[in-house]
Amino acid sequence: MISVRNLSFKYEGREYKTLDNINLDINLGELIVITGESGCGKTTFALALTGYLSHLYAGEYFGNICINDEKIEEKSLTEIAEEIFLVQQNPQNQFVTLTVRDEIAFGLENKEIDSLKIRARIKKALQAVYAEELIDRNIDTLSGGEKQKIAIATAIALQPKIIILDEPTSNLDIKSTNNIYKVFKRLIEQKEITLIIIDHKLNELMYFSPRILKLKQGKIIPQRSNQEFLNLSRKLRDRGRKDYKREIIKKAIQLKDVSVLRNENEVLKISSLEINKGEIVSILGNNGAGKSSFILGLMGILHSTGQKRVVLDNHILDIKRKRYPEKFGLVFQNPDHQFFCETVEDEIIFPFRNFYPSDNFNSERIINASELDDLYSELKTHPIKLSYGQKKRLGIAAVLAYHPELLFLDEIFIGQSNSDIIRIMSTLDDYRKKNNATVLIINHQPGIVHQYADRVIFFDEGRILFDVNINKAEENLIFFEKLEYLEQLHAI
Amino acid sequence: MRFENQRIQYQYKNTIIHNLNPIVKAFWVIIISLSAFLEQGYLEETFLLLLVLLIGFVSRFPFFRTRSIRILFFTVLFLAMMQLVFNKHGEIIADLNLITIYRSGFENAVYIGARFTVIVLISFIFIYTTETNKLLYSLMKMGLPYRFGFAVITSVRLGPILGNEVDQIYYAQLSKGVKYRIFPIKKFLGTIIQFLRLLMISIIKQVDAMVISMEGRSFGLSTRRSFSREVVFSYIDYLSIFVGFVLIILFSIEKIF
Repeated sequence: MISVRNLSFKYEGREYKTLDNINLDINLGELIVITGESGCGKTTFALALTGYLSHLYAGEYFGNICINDEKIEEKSLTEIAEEIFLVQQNPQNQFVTLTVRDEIAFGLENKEIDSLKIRARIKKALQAVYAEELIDRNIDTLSGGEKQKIAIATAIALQPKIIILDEPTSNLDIKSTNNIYKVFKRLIEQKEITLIIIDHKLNELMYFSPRILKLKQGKIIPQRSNQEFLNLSRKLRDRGRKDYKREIIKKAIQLKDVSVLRNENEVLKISSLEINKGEIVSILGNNGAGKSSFILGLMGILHSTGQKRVVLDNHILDIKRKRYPEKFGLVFQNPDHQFFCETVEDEIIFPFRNFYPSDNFNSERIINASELDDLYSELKTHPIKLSYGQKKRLGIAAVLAYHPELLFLDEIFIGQSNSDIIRIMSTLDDYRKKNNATVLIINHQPGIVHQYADRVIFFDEGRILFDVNINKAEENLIFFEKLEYLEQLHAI
Repeated sequence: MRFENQRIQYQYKNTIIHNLNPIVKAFWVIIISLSAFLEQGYLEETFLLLLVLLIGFVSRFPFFRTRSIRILFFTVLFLAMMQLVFNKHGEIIADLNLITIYRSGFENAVYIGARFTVIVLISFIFIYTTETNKLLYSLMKMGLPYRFGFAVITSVRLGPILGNEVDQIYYAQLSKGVKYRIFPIKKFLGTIIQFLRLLMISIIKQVDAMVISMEGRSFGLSTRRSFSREVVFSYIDYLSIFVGFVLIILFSIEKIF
């Protein structure tokens, strides 16, 4: 049905090929999972299959892709869209209209389909994704999981033969992720659509016995059996942590009766919380539970009331609004929001220069910080030219370079492969040991993060549901019926 | 009186004003604004103001919970005070210790204040009671080129997304020690440029994703499109249009003759 022959692509301005001589055949009704480390070319391959790469992107394109023996390079995007549909990584960015009904109708209206037929198709598409009750909702009021369901429903309504889903669960919490897998199960069982899923979460997808393709530096590497993939991922995960024993336990953060406010509304309430120096804390909870507000409130970026104290340089200090930023390190989910300079080197130095304008920047800090990756060889490169994974690591490197005592990481593992996550976690583990720093990590990957964490705090509806030692995480997840997290704890 | 920090935006409510066809509501905004500009007398402007207040109460507009109303109130108060203090034409109608109020000053204060309030308030009520989506779909169905309609819809769609992007970039700057201080100016401008550059990259990425999404769903395939939404005019809509025409005729009579 789809045949890819000698496909290569080099983006304009880049010195390497993002796709390198790919050959592949895909049949009707097949389930394909494309995996690989961040920056290996997965999204570019999806853009190639849907024709966008040859039609909209500047660069050197070689080879061809045929759908039912017709070259997509010679067809218009509209013609290609009849056959194949791409659901992009972040559904929020691809919605055009303001309500669920209009969004699903959008493509059908463009094709001048009769209004009665459109309504029937909307109903059928929403049924397919278990979302009939969302039909009259405003898109901005939907949760992340609901948005992803609607993005898939827009594809189903158009009745393409192939749907490509680019990291469909990467922005979702664990509960929403499980709901999306239920949708996949229904689509796969119907066997009417070829599904191509780009994802790192192999454990759940293995259940459907897909054909797994691994991309590495733009090439499809020789196929392993699914069991081999599983074993490899397990091996990575089970590298095991070395316990970090602290002889003297000191407090790093003390909170009492704290309320965090967004636009004058209370979004988080904490009656009492203490976090120790040198701890790695895994912060879990569904989207909207108050995790990010917790971090922004602690840093004084969001307004908060109550008693907030941090112990910095052995002094107990009340956290005031936007004070002591040099003692805090914050890394956000989206690396593109964090780069302010022209080179990787300047980017690493940038926060240090802001915090300590009169101090000399020790070049050793760059070396230490850039050890996170191959960043050391990219010091003169513009951050925007780095791969997604490198950008994420640069975000962390720039923070580690000024040696903050408290490090906050907000869902930085989204879109990262297991080996990428392990690499970052090892670096953070080393950093906290050397500096007795406290590291708080908001994540949806407890399977790996809990290999390194000392403690877990679970947020639920703007409150702390439980706060326990890592050894008690499992029993608390069972007690509070957060079973979807329990599954993830054992996942790869 | 307690003001809350509430922006004016569409709120679903089951009122007669909310349920009117969006095109009829747009027609009424035009009629009332036109009447406010046509009329020269302070009594007629007061009548229009009372009419708009009545529409506001019927639509359950949150007069006391909206920050914009506070801004409107103080602006109108300022305009009225300017007339009361500086307009010294006509007979004296009140002699207070601090100021003397003349007839022309009083009439102009009421006239300008009422006119300003009418025009701004009717727009607020329109936004509060009308779903942008429904309005644009109705307009497109009645002949507005759909490319123009979707240009507006996608702008509305991108608004909250960009608001979120602005927050993220600002937080990233703060966490990296960037300070928004006006002096020295050169550094301040550099900080603004840093911010705007990232915002621009973000906007381009958002638009890129949206273009892929629209192209993938055949946007622009034809000069026409079908519509799944029905545009329905009830008898109340027709009655409203009739009353609107009567109003504009009444307010125009003096001008015409």
